[in-house]
Amino acid sequence: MHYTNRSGILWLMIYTFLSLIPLGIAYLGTLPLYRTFWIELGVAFGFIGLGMLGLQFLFSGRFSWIAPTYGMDNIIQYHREVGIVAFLFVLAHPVTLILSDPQFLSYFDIQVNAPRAIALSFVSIALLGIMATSLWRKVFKLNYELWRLFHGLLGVAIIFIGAIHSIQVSHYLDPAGKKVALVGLMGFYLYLIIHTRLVRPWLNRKFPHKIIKVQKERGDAFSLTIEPVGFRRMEFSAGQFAWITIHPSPFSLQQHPFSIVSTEKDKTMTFTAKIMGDFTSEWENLKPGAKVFVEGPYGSFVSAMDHPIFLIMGGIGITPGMSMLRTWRDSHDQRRTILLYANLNWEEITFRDELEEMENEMNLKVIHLLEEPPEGWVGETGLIEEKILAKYLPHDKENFMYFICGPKPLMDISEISLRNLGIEWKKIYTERFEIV
Amino acid sequence: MMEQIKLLYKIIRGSGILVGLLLFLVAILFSARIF
Repeated sequence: MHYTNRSGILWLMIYTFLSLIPLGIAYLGTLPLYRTFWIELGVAFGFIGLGMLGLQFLFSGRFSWIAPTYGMDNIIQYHREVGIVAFLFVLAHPVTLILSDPQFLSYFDIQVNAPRAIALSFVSIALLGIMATSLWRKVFKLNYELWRLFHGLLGVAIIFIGAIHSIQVSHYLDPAGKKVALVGLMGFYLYLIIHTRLVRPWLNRKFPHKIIKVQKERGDAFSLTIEPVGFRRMEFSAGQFAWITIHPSPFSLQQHPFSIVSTEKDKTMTFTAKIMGDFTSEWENLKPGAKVFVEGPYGSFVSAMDHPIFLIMGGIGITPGMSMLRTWRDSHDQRRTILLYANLNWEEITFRDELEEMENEMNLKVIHLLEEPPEGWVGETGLIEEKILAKYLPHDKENFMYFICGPKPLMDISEISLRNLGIEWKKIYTERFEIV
Repeated sequence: MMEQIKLLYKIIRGSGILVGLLLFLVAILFSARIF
C-alpha cells in the first residue's frame, strides 16, 4: 500500500466532518436565543468533544472497512492522538462555561441536583483516568488486560453520560427530533464497542486454531505455529499482524497483536514473541493442541510489488521483516533488500542463522549493529544513528521503500534520520506496537 | 511538568494538532453564529 497526501487529506476531512455531527445536529433548524459568545463557544466545545469521543470507538474497533485503507497501526496511533485532543475539548467545555458565567458551577453542586453533579464529576474523573492510564500504564503497573477492560468500560460510561447530559440540558436539542438524532448517533457508537468486544468474538468462536508447535528462538523469543481447525487459513500479506487470543474462549481479555513471521503461502501461521515478563512469558509453557483465536490480518506494513526494500529493525521488531524475507525467498523473488538489524549482542540475534542462509539464497545484504559487540567484532557497534544510516543508504535511495520496526527510540531516530537524509515520508513505513 | 507537556505535544504533534485547530476554528464560527 502507498501512502499519499490525498488519502491523508481525505482522512482528515472525513474525520472532521464526522466529529462535527453532534454540533451539526444542535445547530439544525430554529436556534435558541443567543447568549454570550463565550457561553456558546463552551457549548460548542462540549458537542465537538462528544462527537470526537464517540468516534474513538470506530478507531479502536479494528473494523475491516477502514483498516485496509489506512492501516490498523496508523488508526490506533490516530486514536491515541485525537483522544488527547478530544479530552482537551471536553475539558474546555465546563472550563469555558464556568469562566464566562460562574453560575454554571451549579452543575457540579450536589445540593442542586445530586445525580447530575455525581455523573458529571464521574465523567471528569473518568476522563482523567483514561488519559493517565493510557499514557502511563506501565508507570501505574496496570496489566494490559485490566487496562483494556477499564478503558472500554470508562469510555462507554463517558459517552452514555455525555449523551444524557446534553439531552437533559436540552438548550440546543429542541424539538425532540434533535434528541432522537443525537441518541441514535451515540447509540451507534456504543454498538461499535459492543460489536468489537462481544459480537465479533462470538462470531469468531466457530473458527478456532490449535497450536501445533512451540519453538525456542535466539534472544529469549518463542515461535508459536498454529493451524486452523476445519477451515482455510486466513489470507494475509507479509508484514501484517493479527490479534491472537490463546484461551479456550474467544471472549478472553487476553488478546494481543503479534506480527506473523511465516510466509504468505504456508498452510500454517507462525508468530514470534520475545518473553517480556507479561503475557508472553506464558508462551514457553504452551503445549501443542491448545486453542487459539485469531483476528486479522491488520497493518499496512506491506511492500509494494518489486520495489527494492530497506529494512531497519531492532530486536524482536524483526518479525514483520522476517515474514517478508521468507515469502520472497520461497517465491524466488530476487529484489534488492538491505536489512539493518540492531541487537544487544551477537548471541541474542533472533533468526540469525536463517538470515545468514538467506544472504546466500537471496539478493539480501544484512548489516548487524550491536550494542555490546563480542571481542574482535569488526561490524557496526552502538545504537542506530543518522551517520550509520547514511553510510548504508544505497546510491539510488529514492527507489527504495523503507520499513522500520523495533523499540521506540530506534523507530523515532530512524524515521527522523531518513527524513534528514532526503527520503520522502511516503516511502517510510513504520509498525509500532508499543502503543500503551 | 515540562516533561509531561513535551510528551503530550509529541503524541499529538501530527494530525492531532491539525484536527484540533480545525475543529476549534469551526467551534468559533458556530459560536459567533457565522454559520
